[in-house]
Amino acid sequence: MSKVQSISGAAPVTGAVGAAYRHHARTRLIVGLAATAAVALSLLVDIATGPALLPLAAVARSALGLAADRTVDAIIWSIRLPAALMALAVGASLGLTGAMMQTILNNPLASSYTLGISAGAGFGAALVIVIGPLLPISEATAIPLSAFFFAGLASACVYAIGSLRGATPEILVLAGIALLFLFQALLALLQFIASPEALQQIVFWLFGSLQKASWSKLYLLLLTILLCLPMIAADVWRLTALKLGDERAIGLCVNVRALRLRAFVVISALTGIAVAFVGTIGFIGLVAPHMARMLVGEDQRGLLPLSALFGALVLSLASIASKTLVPGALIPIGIVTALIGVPFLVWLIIGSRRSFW
Amino acid sequence: MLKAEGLGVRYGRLIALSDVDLIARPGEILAVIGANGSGKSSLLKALAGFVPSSGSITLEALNGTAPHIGYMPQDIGARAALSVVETVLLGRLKQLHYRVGEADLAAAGSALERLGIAHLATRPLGALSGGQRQLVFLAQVMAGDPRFLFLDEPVSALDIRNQLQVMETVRSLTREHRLTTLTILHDLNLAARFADRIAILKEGRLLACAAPREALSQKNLEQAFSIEAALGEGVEGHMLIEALRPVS
Repeated sequence: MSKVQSISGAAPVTGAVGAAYRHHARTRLIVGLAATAAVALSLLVDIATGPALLPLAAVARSALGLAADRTVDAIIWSIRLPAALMALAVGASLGLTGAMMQTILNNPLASSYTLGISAGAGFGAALVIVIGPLLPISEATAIPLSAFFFAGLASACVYAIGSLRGATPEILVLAGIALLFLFQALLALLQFIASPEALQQIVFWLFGSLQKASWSKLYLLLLTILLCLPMIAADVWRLTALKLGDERAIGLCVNVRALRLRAFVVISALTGIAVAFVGTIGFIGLVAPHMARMLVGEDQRGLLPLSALFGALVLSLASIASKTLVPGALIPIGIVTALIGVPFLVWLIIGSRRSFW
Repeated sequence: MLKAEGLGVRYGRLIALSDVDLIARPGEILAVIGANGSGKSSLLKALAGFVPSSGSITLEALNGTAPHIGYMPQDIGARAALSVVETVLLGRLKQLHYRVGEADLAAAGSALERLGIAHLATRPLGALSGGQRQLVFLAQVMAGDPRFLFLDEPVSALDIRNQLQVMETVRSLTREHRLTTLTILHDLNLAARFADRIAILKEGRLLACAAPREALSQKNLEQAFSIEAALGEGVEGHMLIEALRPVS
């Protein structure tokens, strides 16, 4: 019996391909480090800005436990730091899930916002606000729980409807759009029957706000991210293969349906919990992956972390803008992300002259 | 060795493949030809286990190694923002870790060099022509070190020089590494020149499976493709087929 040799080892390797690959990987690392530095700087500025503008040095001293002023310490640790870190965690979650959604649906317009998951969360929150007095638990607890439940329900419905026709990207997108309209209609119905006070509360929740942040909510979100990361890391190459299309991914022995289901579970958990705590914040899940894709392409090992970093950066910058655009007023964060996000997305798509991809 | 008995594939009510018996041996190229919709792609997908099928399929690799299949679909329209080397690395999906190892890079590099496209390694996939993408996807299949090569129209987008180069590469790989290669081809002259045996499908059934001179008879060509053909011999001694006219 003849000896079986390796096909790929049959020709001599010059090393040029390996060198080119390593150069590309280094570029990706540098982009990642630059984005991390920008996030850290934005975090400092976000903590410093507010009704009382704090010097960056004072913020840094307080963060390191060296502050002499207890008032500054109290402002930073009780109010601004949880909100600023929440902006990073929510932004990272939305950026990451947006990129995953665009990958598994092979659609650059997909995000939790465009596929009805955020609309489901909005309906869940509005439902509690309207029927709040009838509930045995406080609204403060019930609103995020209900928002999380309906975000998960919307996601499950999208997948279940899509699965009836093979869970192909096209069917899943159509199912998501159907769910978006359904939950928007249900939300409009709730707004129609709500009292003026409840209606005002619903509208404010839908705008999104980081002022609802607390350390306990932040820990819960970080825990969810930490639990999801190993699941994402394990599938990172399979997700990259999926970018080549279902048939080619199947040819590479990827179980496409199981992969989409796992990704949907991660997306539901992360989006649900992020949106439940701060309200519906759009465009992060759409813009951040586009920024990352233009710089590092669609190898998911680079795309997913960088989408998370850009999501964190954009929401952190939006948080700064929400506190500084109109002196003395706090503009709801969801309005700022939309105001910044839309022209930025248009610039990315039309105005950008150069991208690596 | 590959052995299929009574192989059948259905898509709902549509019968794509029915009662196909086939044997392919290590070191040989089996070309699969037939008219559009005759079940060629379904045959390859069924043998690779990518679509549900009836009947039995046996894949035995040499030396008891795992029967790893390298499958190349005919679609070349991938729009992913990936570089060529990243795309080729995906051929080693089962071995890849988060951090790419030297062996994986060497395998990808060798496959690219063997097909003469190492200079494209850092180019984005989307910036390549259809023919270049086809070569990249063939490199991807090769990088996975398969024991069975299933190629669905691997040269359909290539110019004549690249068609010859790719088919010669496939032939030498098949011989050197004792691969079992099945390839769908539309060009009957390429099939006659490079295949050891040719399987002809008609309406999901196997019409013939034999050496080129026996399989590509005027009678079989008329039955499979509804054409009248002239058969001859090229300067290097291989068979030439000229389609003369369709027959009703």
